[in-house]
Order: sequence, then C-alpha cells, then structure tokens
Amino acid sequence: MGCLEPRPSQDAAVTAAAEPLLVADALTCRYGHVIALDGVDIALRPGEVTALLGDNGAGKSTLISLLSGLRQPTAGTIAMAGRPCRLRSPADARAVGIATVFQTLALVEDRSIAENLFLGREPARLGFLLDRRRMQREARDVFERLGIALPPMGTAVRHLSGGQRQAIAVARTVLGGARVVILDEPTAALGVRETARVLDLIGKLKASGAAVLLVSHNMDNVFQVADRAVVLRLGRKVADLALAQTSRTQLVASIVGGEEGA
Amino acid sequence: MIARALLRREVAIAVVAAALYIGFALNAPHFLDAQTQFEILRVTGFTLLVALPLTMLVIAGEVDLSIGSNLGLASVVTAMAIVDWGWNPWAAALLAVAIGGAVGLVNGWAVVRLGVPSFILTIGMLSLLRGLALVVTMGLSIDVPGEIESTFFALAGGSIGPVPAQVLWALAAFAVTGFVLRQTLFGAWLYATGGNLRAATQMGLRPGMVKIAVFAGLGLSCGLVGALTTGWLRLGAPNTGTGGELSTIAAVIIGGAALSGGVGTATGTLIGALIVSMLQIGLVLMGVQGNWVQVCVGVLIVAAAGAEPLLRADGRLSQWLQGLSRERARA
Repeated sequence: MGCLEPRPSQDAAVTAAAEPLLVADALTCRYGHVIALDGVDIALRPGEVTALLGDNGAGKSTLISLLSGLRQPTAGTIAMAGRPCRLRSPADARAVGIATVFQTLALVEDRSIAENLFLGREPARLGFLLDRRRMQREARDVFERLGIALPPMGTAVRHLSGGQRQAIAVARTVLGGARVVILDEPTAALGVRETARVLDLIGKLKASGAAVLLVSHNMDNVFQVADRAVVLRLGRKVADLALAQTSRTQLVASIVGGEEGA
Repeated sequence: MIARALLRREVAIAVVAAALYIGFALNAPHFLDAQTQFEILRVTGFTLLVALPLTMLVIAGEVDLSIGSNLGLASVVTAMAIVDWGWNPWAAALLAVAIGGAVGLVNGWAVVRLGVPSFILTIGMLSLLRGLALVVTMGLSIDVPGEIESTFFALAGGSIGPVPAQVLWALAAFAVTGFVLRQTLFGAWLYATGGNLRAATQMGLRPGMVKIAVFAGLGLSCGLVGALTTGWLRLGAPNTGTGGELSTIAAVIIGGAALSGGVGTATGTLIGALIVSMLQIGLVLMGVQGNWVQVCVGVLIVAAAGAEPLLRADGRLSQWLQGLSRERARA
C-alpha cells in the first residue's frame, strides 16, 4: 500500500515548480444519501497536466461538474490563485478562468469554425454588428499560436473530423482567457492519428502556461502527456502521484484498488 | 463544378425557379404581360412580409402555424377601428400591429417558458384567433367606405410607377432580414439557438430570449400585413389569410430553411416565395383548375423536404456526385 501514498518528497518537488493556481479543499458532494465525492483535495498548477483517473462511479464526473460550476459542493472550498470563489454556474467558472471542454463539445454543426470559436462571445462593432473580420483574424491567430492546422475559418464544423472539433473546443477555452482547462475524455471517440494530434495540443496548452485537468481512461495517453495523476475511488482520493516516478502497474492498482501492496 | 454549385441550396432552387418561369412563359397565355408580372411580384411581396420573419423563427428551431389567423384578426381589427370606432387609419393600423405583436409574444412565452411544442401551441392559436376574428365581426366583412381618405391607403395599396407598394415593403423586409441574419450578433445567436440549443446555453447565450423575440417580431409582421391588406382592399374580412400559413411555410421550406433549425437564408426564402406565387398565378393562367394549384404547392413542399437529406453534404446525392467527379478525375 505504501507505494500508493503520495510521497512527501515528490510533492515538495512539484510544488517548488509553481504555486498552485486552483486549489480545491475537502470537496464533498452528496446526492441524497449517496456520497458522490468525499473530502477530495486537488491542486492544479500552471504549466502542468494533471490526469484525473478512476473507475466508473469513482466521482470524476462529480468533481469536474463542481469545478466547472455545473453543481455546487455540499462542503469544501475552491480557490483560484489563493482567492476563494463560489461557482454557481458555468459562467461564474469562466469568469474566474476555469473552462471545461465536455465530451459533447458544444459546437454548432452548420456554423463556421470562426463562429463556433466565438460562440457566446461574439466581437461586436457599435454593440450589435458582428465583427467578422476580427473573428477571422483572431481565430487564425489562436490556431497559429496553438499550432493547429485547420481548413479555412469559414468552413462549417459539420465537415471536420473529431480531432479538429476537439481542437476548436480547446482553442475556444484559450481564446476566452482560461487559465485552468478541464478536458473530459478528449480522445474517447478518436482514431490513432487524431488522438496523437489532440495529445500534442494538450502539450501546447501546457507550454502556454495553462493548468490542465485531463479526465481519461486511456493509460497510454495519461503517461504520454500528464505530469501528475489523481486517482479517485468510490468518491475518495486514493492517490496523487508524480507520474515520472510511477509505474503503470502501480497506477492501475491504485485505480482498481488491488490489495497487492498490503 | 456545376455539380458542386447545384449542391448549394440557393442555386438549386434558383434553377427550379428559372425553369418554372420559362415553362410558364411558353405555356401560360398572358404570363409575360406586365400586369401578370407585377401581380406575381405583389403576391410574392405579401408572402415575403410574413415568410421572412418566419424564416428567422424556423432558423431558431420553432414554427408558427397561427400566422394566417393572426393576420386575419389584424385585418378585421383595422377595419373595425376605422369604420366602427372612427379611428384614424394610421392609429388603427398601429393597433393591429400591436395586437399581432402581443399574440406573437404570447406564443413565444408559452413555447419557451411553459415548454409547449410550438407546432401544437400554434395550431391551437390558429383556431383561437380565427374564431375571434369571426366572433367580433359575426362572420361578416367590413367595408371601408371610399370617403375615408388617408395616406395609409396609398402606402398599403398604391404603386410607384408600375411597382405595387407591397413590393417595396417586401424589398425593405428582405434587406433587413438578410442584414440581421448575416451581419448582426442577433443573427449569430439565431443560428446557434436553432443549430444546437444545448451548446448555445452552455456557451452563455440566452436562446429562450432569442426565441421569444423572434416570435414577437413575427407577430408584429402578421399585424402589419393584416393592416396593409385592409388598407389595400378597403375591406376587413374575417377569413383573410385562411390557408396563408401553408403558402408561407411552403416558401420558407422550399427556400431551404430546415424545420429542424439552424439553417436558412433570406435569399432562399425570396426565391421560394417567387416559386409559390408563380405557381399560383401561372397555373390559373393555363386554365388549370384552382384546386390543382394546391396539389402542386403540396408536391413542391414534399419535394423540397425530400431534397433536404439528399442535398446535405453527407447526403446520398452529394456522395454520389463526389464519386462521379472522382471517377472522372481518374479517367
């Protein structure tokens, strides 16, 4: 069991790298009598990818709904850059710089890349005119910055691949000035090449200084891009590991809750 | 190239419209007379004044079947206010527009806040408003006597040179609708609301408010067209606009707006309205019995709806065309 406990020395090493941007303290969430999340602490640091792992029903979805403002915790606090904040809605979360890319991606199929990128945040002239030129320009800029190659910005999202759609949803969080980006199973529906592209994109997000929380079932992906892994089981945090010092067997054991360490 | 262009909805229906025009020009006596041409434009104009705001509503993912009845009530109210209450025609028209807008607001509120499906709700309103128009007039038409003078009548039914006033009203509506859809924030919200309601909500838009606004705008237009009809014919008939919802919805659907929401253009609806009014007038000129006109409009609606899945980028027709051009490239 000992190897699964977070080792103080590792934690100290990571903390030295950067102050945490988002700190959630003792988050608890109950649905009636069911405790979906039970006193979970998590810290996300800028320029670091944290993987959130756990079996079905471990509390991953509940945790990301709390962090993205879809649900309010029964107990516990969330702080951004040291300042406690109450997230009553996704808009609240966005306002403090937390953006979530859900599996549904929230894209409008028949509209262009640029329009999707600015959905709900359309730049205006005179307060009511759509500033298409600025949309096109800023869209091209943000994709260039993230190193994403896409068809012309006027192309309808309907014609794009799964990876390209994911890229638009991720770029949208960057454009909105998010400092914490939560990605919910971003590679779940993708083929090998598309997956590689999305992982590459996550690397770029990290390099740009964002704190990334990556929810994934895919161990290969996690070991490729994540720096740390937080493991939930039955609503509790059972491990918080630096992946450089962790083997795949250890990680899997902590997820399924094997007794091999005992 | 041609195949790709045909896949664009506006181009495809413009070809259909041109074919119809040539067909009627060759086969329908007097079709090319100036009088007939302007009549087609007048009917198109009347259709468009409601079809354009309806296009916005369809883009937002809703539909309104009570437009014909709303228009009829407005027409009757205008006539009653002028004749029975001695109101200035302008004030009477304003009242009709206000009532039309209020009806639209009620429709939008019930659909958005109460969650009633717009199809069901507005079928109810279709019957309710038509019934009201019949009740307040006791089923009788109200004539507006020729002695009553007002610039309103000229604006409603006059013409500038040979161009009917309704055509000018419709052109203005076309310009405004195209502008709103393409150039404004509201247009972007409309397409997002109908295209993916959940995404619009998640991204912080207020799709409910957007829908209510469009329902209200459509209601205002129905009120306006009702008042204009009374001003033009100098008659407030309780059956005005009966069946009008069908030709109006036909124009919108033929024009390429999808009832599933998120798709549609002002130009498409303009061409759709031209096709419907050409059919209505051309077939009559050819001596076809009036009831067949309805059959033809019905066929066109079915064809347009059937073409929708074919014309989509991932539809069968486009797959087939892409396959063809690939083969040709290889050969």
